[in-house]
Amino acid sequence: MDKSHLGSKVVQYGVSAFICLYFFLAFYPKYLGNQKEIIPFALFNLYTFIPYDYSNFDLQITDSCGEAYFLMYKNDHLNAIERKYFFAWLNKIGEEYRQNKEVKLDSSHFIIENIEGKVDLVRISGDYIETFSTKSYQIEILKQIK
Amino acid sequence: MKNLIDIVWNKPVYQGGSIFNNETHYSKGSTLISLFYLFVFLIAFQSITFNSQFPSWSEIVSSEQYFIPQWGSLWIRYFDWKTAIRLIYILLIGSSIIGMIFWRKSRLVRVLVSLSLFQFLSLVSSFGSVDHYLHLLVTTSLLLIILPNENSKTYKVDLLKVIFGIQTIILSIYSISGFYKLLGIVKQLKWGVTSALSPTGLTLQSTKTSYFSGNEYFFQSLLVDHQGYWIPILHISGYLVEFLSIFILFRIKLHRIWGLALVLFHLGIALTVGPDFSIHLIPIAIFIMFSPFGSKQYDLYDDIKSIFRK
Repeated sequence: MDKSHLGSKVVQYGVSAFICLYFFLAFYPKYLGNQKEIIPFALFNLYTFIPYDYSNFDLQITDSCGEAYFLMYKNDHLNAIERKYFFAWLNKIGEEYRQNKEVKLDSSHFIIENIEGKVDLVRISGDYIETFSTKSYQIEILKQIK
Repeated sequence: MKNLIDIVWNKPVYQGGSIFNNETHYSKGSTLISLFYLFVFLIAFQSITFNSQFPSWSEIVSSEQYFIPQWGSLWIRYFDWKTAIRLIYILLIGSSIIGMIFWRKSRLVRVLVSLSLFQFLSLVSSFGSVDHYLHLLVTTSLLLIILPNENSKTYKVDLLKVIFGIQTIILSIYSISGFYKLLGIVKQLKWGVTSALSPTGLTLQSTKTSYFSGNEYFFQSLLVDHQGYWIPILHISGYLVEFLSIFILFRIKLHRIWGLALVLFHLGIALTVGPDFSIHLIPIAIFIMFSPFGSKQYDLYDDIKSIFRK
């Protein structure tokens, strides 16, 4: 009897198994692992919470002319890779500071040694909407790095 | 378990017959997969230009010091950096061209396309944070590997089953994502902090993204200057479109309209919160908005009218 109208069992079970495996690998880091996303599986934690007051870590750089700017915030000179890398790196530093009230960071770090001028680790805090509307924020210098 | 899988696969019916045994569905499905591989080529093409959302190839070549490999790009450490990067780009472009032409003929070609897309995703995600805009495309290409070659006796039914599998995974991903966002509201209400139900919820999300990216989004000023309860209505509607996605899987007639809703959902995100998921629109538009099941034509307007027709 011709059973071609039923399709292949390999496809039927293959697709079902793929879907099960996908969700196993998507949920594994969330509930059993270290919360680190396994690409290319979704972690389902993007935009799940509404942010309110913020407190973000950054480096304030003061050049030889006394002009101060930040490594991340409002720095239009970064390319896409630098933006991604610095964002993750500053988050890690922020996490370390929150836990230990101290960070192991000095002027020999490869990012800092390439910066000309004075470098401070700072905490920028405020309200996202207010910062967007009035460009105002609070800044606290935590440590002079260079 | 075996019986359960068989029951699920026998469930999708349209006008009394299985959606998998239909010549029109097959011919549309086949065209849609060709279209998918065309878009993969366009993505590969874009990756070497300087006007796409990907980091440019020259930025990647000069960013070895920032490389923190994902599991898929660990091998790069053992090769010369510039050679490895160029190899990934050549693999992506080459396989996408071969994929456009030979996807029906050889599973190996589909494996190659999938592998190269995955390698590219791994590479661009290996600089501190994961980029999410290629996930759906990679997942879809992985599922297409299961499809047998054109000379298989069961090819036509299998092709439609794989498309149904793609629809299942896309709609499930959106539903689970919507579920966690709704759960986020419950948790934030419990903690007594601002949630998506607040008139400022969407505005806070929007201004947060703006803070980090340095960009201003199209309707951002409108959100900031005209806060009110229309904002949470809009915001929760988006969550519901996501959350309810899986419930239309077996409602074949609603596939294409829901696909349109998901496309509009992403448009709404781009206009307000900012993240550009335009590459997600490729599998959504191809496999959900132009679903091969349940309608003889591609006319979305006719689909919308049919909801109100008895």
